[in-house]
Amino acid sequence: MSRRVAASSAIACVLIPVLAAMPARRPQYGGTLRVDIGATLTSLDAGQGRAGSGEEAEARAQIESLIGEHRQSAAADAGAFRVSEWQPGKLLTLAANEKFSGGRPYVDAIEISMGRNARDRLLDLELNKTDFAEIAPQDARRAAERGVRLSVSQPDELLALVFLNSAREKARTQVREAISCSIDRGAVVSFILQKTGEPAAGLLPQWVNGTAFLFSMPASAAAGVARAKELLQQMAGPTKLVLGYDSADALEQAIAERVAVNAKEAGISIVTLGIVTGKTASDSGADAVILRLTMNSAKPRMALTDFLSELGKLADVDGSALSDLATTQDIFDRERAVITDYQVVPLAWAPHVYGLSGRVRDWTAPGPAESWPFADVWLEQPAASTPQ
Amino acid sequence: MTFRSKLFINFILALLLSVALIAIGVTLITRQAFSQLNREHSEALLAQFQREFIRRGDEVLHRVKGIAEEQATTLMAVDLSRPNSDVSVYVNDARGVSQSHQLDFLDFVANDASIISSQENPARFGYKMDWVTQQQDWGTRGAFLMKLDTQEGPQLGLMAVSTVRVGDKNLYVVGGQRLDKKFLASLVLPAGMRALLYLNLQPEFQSADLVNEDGPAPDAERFATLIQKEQQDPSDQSERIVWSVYPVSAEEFHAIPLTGRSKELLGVLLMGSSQNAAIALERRIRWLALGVAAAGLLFGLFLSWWAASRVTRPVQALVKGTKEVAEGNWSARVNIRSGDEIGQLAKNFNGMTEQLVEQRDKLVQVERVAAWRELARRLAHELKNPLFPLQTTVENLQTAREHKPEQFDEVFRESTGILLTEIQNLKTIVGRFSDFAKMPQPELADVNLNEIVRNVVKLFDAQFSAVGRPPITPELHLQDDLPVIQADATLLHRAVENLVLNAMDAMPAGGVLMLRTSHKDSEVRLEISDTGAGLTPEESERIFTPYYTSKQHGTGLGLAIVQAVVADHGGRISVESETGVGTSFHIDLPVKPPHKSTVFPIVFEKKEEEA
Amino acid sequence: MRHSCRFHFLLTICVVLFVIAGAQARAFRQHTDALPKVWNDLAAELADIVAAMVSPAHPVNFEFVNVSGLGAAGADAARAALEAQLAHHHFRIARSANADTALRATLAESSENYVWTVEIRQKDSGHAEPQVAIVTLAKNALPNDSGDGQTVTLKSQLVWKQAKRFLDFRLIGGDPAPLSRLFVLEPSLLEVYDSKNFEWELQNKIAISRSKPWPRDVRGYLKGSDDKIAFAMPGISCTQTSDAIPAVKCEPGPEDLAATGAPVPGIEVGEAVNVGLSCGDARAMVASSVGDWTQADSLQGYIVRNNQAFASGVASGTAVAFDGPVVSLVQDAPGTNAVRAVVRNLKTGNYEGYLVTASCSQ
Repeated sequence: MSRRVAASSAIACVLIPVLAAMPARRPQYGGTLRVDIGATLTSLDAGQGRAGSGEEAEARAQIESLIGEHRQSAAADAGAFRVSEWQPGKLLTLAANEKFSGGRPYVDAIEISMGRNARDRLLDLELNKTDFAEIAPQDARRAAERGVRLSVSQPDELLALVFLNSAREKARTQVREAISCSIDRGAVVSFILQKTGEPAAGLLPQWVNGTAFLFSMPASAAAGVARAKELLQQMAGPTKLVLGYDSADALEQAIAERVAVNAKEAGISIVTLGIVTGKTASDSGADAVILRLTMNSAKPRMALTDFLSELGKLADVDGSALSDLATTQDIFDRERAVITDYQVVPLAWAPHVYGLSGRVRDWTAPGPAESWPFADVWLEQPAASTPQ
Repeated sequence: MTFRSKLFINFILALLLSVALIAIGVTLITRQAFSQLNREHSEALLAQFQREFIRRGDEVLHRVKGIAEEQATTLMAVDLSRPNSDVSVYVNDARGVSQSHQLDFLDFVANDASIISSQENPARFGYKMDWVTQQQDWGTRGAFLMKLDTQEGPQLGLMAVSTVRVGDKNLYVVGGQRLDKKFLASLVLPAGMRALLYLNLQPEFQSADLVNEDGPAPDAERFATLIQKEQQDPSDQSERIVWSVYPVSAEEFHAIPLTGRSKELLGVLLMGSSQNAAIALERRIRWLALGVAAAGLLFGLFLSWWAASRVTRPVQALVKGTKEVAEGNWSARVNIRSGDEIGQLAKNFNGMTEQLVEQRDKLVQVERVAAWRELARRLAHELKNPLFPLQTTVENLQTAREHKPEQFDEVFRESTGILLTEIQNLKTIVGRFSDFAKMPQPELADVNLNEIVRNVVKLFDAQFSAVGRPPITPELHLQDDLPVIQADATLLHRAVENLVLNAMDAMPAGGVLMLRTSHKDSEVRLEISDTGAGLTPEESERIFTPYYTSKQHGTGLGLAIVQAVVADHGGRISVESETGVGTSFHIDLPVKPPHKSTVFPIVFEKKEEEA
Repeated sequence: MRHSCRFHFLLTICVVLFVIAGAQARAFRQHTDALPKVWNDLAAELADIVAAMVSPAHPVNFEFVNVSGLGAAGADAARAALEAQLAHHHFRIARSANADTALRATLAESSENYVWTVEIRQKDSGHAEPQVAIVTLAKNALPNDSGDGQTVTLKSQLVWKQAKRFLDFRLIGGDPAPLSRLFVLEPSLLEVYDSKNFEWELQNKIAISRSKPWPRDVRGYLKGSDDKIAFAMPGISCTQTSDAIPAVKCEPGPEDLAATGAPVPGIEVGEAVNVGLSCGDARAMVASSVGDWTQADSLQGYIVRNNQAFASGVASGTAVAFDGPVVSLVQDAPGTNAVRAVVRNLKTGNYEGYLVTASCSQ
């Protein structure tokens, strides 16, 4: 629709015919959803599950949920999409499965560009070169300031400091507690996570079990440091630990460095160590590591069980599963038993943050372990002629 | 050492001294000059460093001010000036801004001194940087040095602070550049000079903290002393470091303290100046000087020798003349025609020798007369003794003929016996005189003195152990390698005989007769010693006087003959004696007798004439 | 006579006592009746657990904190219920803060449950962890009439945009029928546009004036039916008089316009309007956020339960964000589920008119 300037030249106004500018209320079919991911997948073999690095495992799982088991089948029992083009490590194109039992997806295709790092994903969103990309939580605020449309999930990723089994002798309870007290979690969330997340004193966020507020943190950073110094006064000799982090993860590095700074104020010397991808934490020589644990379920029992299982592989934590009949009280008691031992020091919960282009409609952020609802997403098509 | 040699040596010494003094002077002056040059170089370099330091500081200040004046910073300050402003949104700003402004360090600090964003320590957001807010006049202050705690450890930075004021609140921009090897690389150094930077970040000296433009400096521990001196007393100091056994490897290092705002020592700049060129040049000059000195010395040697020769030639002539005179050739003359003192000396010498000859002739005349008088006296004395009994005997004969004819035969017989005896004595005396007078001049030939001694001893062998007398034991101590002398063997044999006889006469009770020969320099010595009664000093003085004898019998000419023989051979004879011990006669003969001269044995010992 | 006087006195005393007790019982029942039964049961269960953990022999300090989405009224009711149940277990709440035992009750929630906890701290326990009693109530276990579980979904549609300020707009006609007329109310002008060939054509401009200057914060609202439009501005009220060539007749009106909105109970919002929408037994409202006209704004849907004792709005659904402040918010028409919002776009400087429709979903 063209713009008509009003007959009266005394008024300069911009008229936009409502018909042309009216956003559609019903989903539109068509279009190709452009997706950027950071992982570089070289194989789509079925059954690999969550093999590979965290990013790769997540991407693989998401793609598998879109295409189902019969990757290239267009049968009703296949996935909502099928593989139509595959350039290993570079580009994966999925076409809508016309016969999908849940209804043909609105978009015709999904074009997944692989190997896009966080900065490139953000730029693509700003420049409207992609429709969907996951954004690091600490970049969310800056992305919003630059006009990127964001969708933020509930906090479902725990950032924690975990003392390894190997450091049991070196890092005694008082030291662990002192480190826990000295950490300014508020600053971690405000500055490092840029307020995209919540300080954590327990393993499960409030929205999952509802008891996160029962785990206390020091009233202030100064109080925490004072308490840490009080604990360390009872120890003889200086304390020095090595804190490892994934060298490819800027967030873990920033958190590790901040923990070291906090601990130094309390009198504990912490040296940070970047652990290269592929090397295990226990082989790295670190006494503790920064860990990112993503929830695999919104159910508190399953989420905690899964956390404890992962933690039990690294730290002196009871990794056994909770009973199916575990109540909120049971879950809380089990959680508190882990926390009060200070083998695991929760730091913050972070959400998943997704950047969306302006034309993506009906997107809702998936919950823990839920797949990207690309089958429900539709793209608003532009008008035939753009009014000026 | 000859006069010429002494003169020559003196010339050389004077020359050497002069050359040495000049060389030392040149070396000292050169060294001073180089030191001065080094000092000037170092001062120039120091000035350059200070200019560079100031320039770098101005650059840092300019960049920090640029950041403070940027709109984004102003907006940040405005935002932070509001109550409950959200500081967290700026936590990552420092990194990007520092990179775009090429700063190694950058901190945004809020009004309450809390760090908003830090480039060098991103995790220190929220912590206080109190020193920033304690200073109120950052606008008037320039850049300064500061120690920063970074993730990579302590580092040294050239820092500046700029303030953005909004309302009553300040936003501080603290930025700087690392002072490290890159700074050193930016210094333009003349050849032979280098710069090192010590980052005084630890209380104790750390080798790793000493850097050059390429990184950690090698052999850093050699600088420990200088650095420690700086740490104790931060002031301009210097030290010479010799890197190897060769002096040319030396380097002179000037240490310049780099202090922070509170005058604490944060770093030390070491400006090294290689002494290689200086030492090499010094050495070159020294060698040149030595070469010149050697050449001069050689030339001086030649010149000195020629000068000495010229100067000493007349002296030599004089010496030769005096030597001839000493040897007896009193008619020696020195032919020197020179108007100077030497010429005068030669003239005087010639005059002196002429006079000597005249005097000698006169003396010879006088001595001849005296000798004749002495001879006549001696003769009279000697003859008088036997003549008296002759006279008495003849008078007895006369008396007996006249008065006692009956006893005349007996008196005649006694008297004739006495007359014959005394006539024999007279004949002996005359014979001795004749012998003494007839003593020929020695006919020189090669003579082995040891052989003569042996022959003489062999001659008297029987007498040494004659029956009826106490034995005399001869002891021969003859040097085997006694050189052959030029002498008259017969005369020497006679002299030795006389001495042996004399010794035998001195040992009536027997004893030891020791004969020793030895050689020293150009003379041979014969010692004949006895173990007789010895001589008194008076006897020793007169012993060589003809007709003086201490014996009951004898003419007293034996030792005089010995003395005459010795004198004819150009030798000397002396006696040592001690009463009760014995007497030793020492004869020194030259291997080659001197020029024949009229040698008249001078025997005057006693002053008064015998009656 | 003495017996009857005594009897009357005693009877009077009894009556008074009965009345008092009854009033208290009523008050108690009012309180408890104000809570759904499940909450009372929950309070009782929690009190039972607390009583099992700590002896009521000594007075306790009691603190109640609400961090859930329940409004102030609901939280107060919950607190009262718990206090009553504790009292039932003979706990005495100390007036001073020096009791040896402190009970801190917290009403929280997770995504699926309400979580009610009581932390029991002993004075001499130092840094030891307190005992904790926890009870939960699944949100989907609540009765439907509570209005829980409903979500208000907002969809916005840009209708008009111009650089010059306008106060309100009205579309006559709607989707899917072709739009025929658009009214745009400016401070001194009412513009009428007709849709011709999918383009707006200015039909008429009606000047609006008054003897004295307009207020700085001039407001104006278009109202009326689909047939006849009317509008109100400070000191003036106008009504359309003809269709063909739209004309209006104005007469003096109130200087202060009646508020078009309504507050969202228990929540501080900007401007809020009811929408003619029932979400279960609750009603829906749409409100802008708190802020001034220099900040970007959004419209949020709220569920407001009809039970006055629980009258508190709960934000529901995803807010619709705009690039500037919502300077005007009015229900499109009484009983409709749409509101009209005029937004000042801070990025472009234009004034934009949005039609925002609300819908309820479970």
